[in-house]
Amino acid sequence: MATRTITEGVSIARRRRLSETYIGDWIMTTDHKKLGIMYMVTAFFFFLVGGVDALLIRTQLAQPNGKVLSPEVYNQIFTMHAVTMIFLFVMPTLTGLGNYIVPLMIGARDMAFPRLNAFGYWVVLFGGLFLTSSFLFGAAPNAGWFAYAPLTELSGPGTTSCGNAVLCTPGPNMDFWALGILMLGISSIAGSINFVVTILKLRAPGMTINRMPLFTWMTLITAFLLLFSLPSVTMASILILLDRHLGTHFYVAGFGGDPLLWQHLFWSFGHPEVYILILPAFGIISEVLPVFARKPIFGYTFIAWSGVAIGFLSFTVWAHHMFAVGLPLVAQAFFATSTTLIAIPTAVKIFNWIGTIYGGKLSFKAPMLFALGFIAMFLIGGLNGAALAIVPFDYQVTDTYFVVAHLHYVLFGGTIFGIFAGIFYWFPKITGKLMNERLAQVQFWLMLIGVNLTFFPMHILGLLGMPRRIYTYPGNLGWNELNLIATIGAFTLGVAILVFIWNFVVTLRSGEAAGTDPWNAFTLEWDTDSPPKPYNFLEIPTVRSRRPFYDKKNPETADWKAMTH
Amino acid sequence: MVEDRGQSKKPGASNEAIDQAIKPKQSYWPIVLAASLTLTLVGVIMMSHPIVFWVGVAFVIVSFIGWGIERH
Repeated sequence: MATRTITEGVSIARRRRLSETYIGDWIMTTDHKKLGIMYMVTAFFFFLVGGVDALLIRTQLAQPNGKVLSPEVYNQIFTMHAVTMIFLFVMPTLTGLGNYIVPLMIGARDMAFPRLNAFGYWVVLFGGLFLTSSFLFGAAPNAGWFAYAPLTELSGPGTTSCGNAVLCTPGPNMDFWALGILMLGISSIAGSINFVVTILKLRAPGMTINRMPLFTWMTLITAFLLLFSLPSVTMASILILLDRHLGTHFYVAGFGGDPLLWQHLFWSFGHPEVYILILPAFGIISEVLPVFARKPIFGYTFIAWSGVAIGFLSFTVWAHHMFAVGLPLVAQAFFATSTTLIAIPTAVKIFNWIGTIYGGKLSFKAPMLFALGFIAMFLIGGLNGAALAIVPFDYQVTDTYFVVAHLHYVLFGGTIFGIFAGIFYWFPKITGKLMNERLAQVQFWLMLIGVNLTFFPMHILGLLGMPRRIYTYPGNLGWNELNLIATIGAFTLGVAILVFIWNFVVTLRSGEAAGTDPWNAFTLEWDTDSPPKPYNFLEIPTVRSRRPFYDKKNPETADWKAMTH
Repeated sequence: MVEDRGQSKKPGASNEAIDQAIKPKQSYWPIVLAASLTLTLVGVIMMSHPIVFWVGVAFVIVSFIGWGIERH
């Protein structure tokens, strides 16, 4: 009897396993929802890091002859601003949203490979910390986010040293870049394989390809783009590491190498990358607009398949980044044409979005505002992008602030507005709480004003000849006021992000309960608790149309009764 | 791979029981493998101390084996 009592006591006093602790539960999780949240929180941390970089750049450039930063640190800051925003904010945020939302949207209980999913997240976190830690060693990447060779070589041509350090990068700066990109590439490949298999194999019964939500469509296309584009930048990074450390000369012309090889390898990843960054945002917009216009999406098939067309065409346009290197005329003509062609499926989407809101009962809640802001800003970015496809014009403005304006209208005015549309739209599903609408609207207007104040003057600066990445400038070139306006705009954007953080904190502490379906939405993720249970759906729903949750709520007017798809 | 499509709730099964039956198992191998990989790359940066690189490689191998033989 005594023995039995002792045994029970020992059993009760058993130390909890790591997986049973709060921290351990997150560290060991393979749940797509928790991983989605971890992706997004991590990405937002890096967004703040990249944002501080941006404010430092704009402070340096606010006035002529600025000396806020040293030239060496400035090079590191502008390089890491881009690397952080692209690889550590936008991509992980979109992966996080996809992780959380896609399985719910398609009626799955998790991603296909949960452990691979967790691995992808941890690689992003560690890879991001690895890249950012380079600042601690005073050796952050400093040759621009596209890291052109031979500037990134360890030593100058025909020498064993870098000489005046203008022709090469002697420190470990670009080793951090190359290794960091390799790591983040591993994560992206793991995530992409998972998305492809999940979307193709784990859809709910009845959800055919042509009934998939458009966010899922765009996530699928993005995953394929990553799988096909990452090998070239991976190869490019390995070759530059071999050049730097094992004495090869893949990019050194004096030894039979070719510096342009780097540009071809990089941009054959780099331009699909632009669509990797924007396609999921297209998907978000295609989910938000119908719900807040109270209409089915206009031209579903065109939106979905124009995404596929963009995906294919994105692999045919890379050398428009290289017009100024002296491409043969036929190559210039080809890449100018293909770049102009890609505007067609993009315009198809914009036409269909406008068709969706036309005649709808519009509700201007925060997700809708950001979606509309996305369309307007992306349209500007798209149009000045089409201008850059015209070779003689590109000659004039290549590597000027005109290009900086273009890419920020696409990636900030486009992708980041799309991300905020998605965050405000799905936040109630993820947390069970509605964000404060008034603060959200303040944030939206600050961001809209801030984006245009910051980036519109850059068009003019580019036309006036201001080169991108320039450390400082004399005061007699007519650039002073425009740079000051851009800096004021950047700080306006900073204030907008502070408003978002305040809204986030206030909502988590005392936000209004959202219920399961606060927007009266159409897709399956709203047909479950907010936040969803670990198993997502008690019973896997059967899908009979493109708006399965709408059908369930409105059996009399269900889409499948008039189904043509 | 997640295989249990769980078409319907079994009679008498509680939500918690379904949760346990369907939820993918937790695992520490993903974080261990990612950390090992990072250590390996740190070792590439610190080539003056190659031990860091080789320790990273060893951990990567151990992680692969651990991941592979983990019971699910």
